[in-house]
Amino acid sequence: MSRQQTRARFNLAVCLTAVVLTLGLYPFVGSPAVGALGLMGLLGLGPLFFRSRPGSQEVLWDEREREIQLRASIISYSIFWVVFVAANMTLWAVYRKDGAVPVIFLPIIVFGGWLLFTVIQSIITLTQYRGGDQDGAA
Amino acid sequence: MVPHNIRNCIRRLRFDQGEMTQQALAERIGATRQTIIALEAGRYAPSLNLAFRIARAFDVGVEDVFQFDDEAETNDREA
Repeated sequence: MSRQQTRARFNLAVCLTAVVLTLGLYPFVGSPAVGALGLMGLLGLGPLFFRSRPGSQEVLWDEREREIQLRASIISYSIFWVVFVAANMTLWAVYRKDGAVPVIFLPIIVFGGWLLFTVIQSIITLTQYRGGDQDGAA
Repeated sequence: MVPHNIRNCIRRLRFDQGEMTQQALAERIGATRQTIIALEAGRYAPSLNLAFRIARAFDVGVEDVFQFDDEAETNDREA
């Protein structure tokens, strides 16, 4: 398994944990449960997966990895942008008469957008690697 | 990313060169082992740069490693 696959799986695990924690806490604490999405800050640890061992000649990143990453990023960014704009326009349409959008939507929009982008990017990354470790190994 | 019209004989060349492992080839050309696996399975067409590095690693020409499949190309165009 490549380091990029490991990072994609880690990202999915972090996102899933954050969502489960938020939904699990919501019935007990209400809107402050959204703070559990802050767990997604752990995604910042991703670059640690690309540390090489001292003295190791192993290549961690090459042109195919870049191509996979680029494709995953373009697709996830496109989907994120459409959903992000749609979500903001929906909020505007619903709350425009009030003159303000409830502040609870701010973390939901920010973390939700980030979550959507990360999950789609990770899934597309893993999909592109599908079968890569199982066949032809020698 | 899935090339239908470029074939290669990297696997055979590896074994001709003293059963070189995928990892050894990957380190020699500056790629990951997963990329070697994808190349051998015909799921990835490398850049010219990488193709030349692979050929150099086996001390052969690029066309000794990669072959353009004219028939597949014709079929792709007709499809």
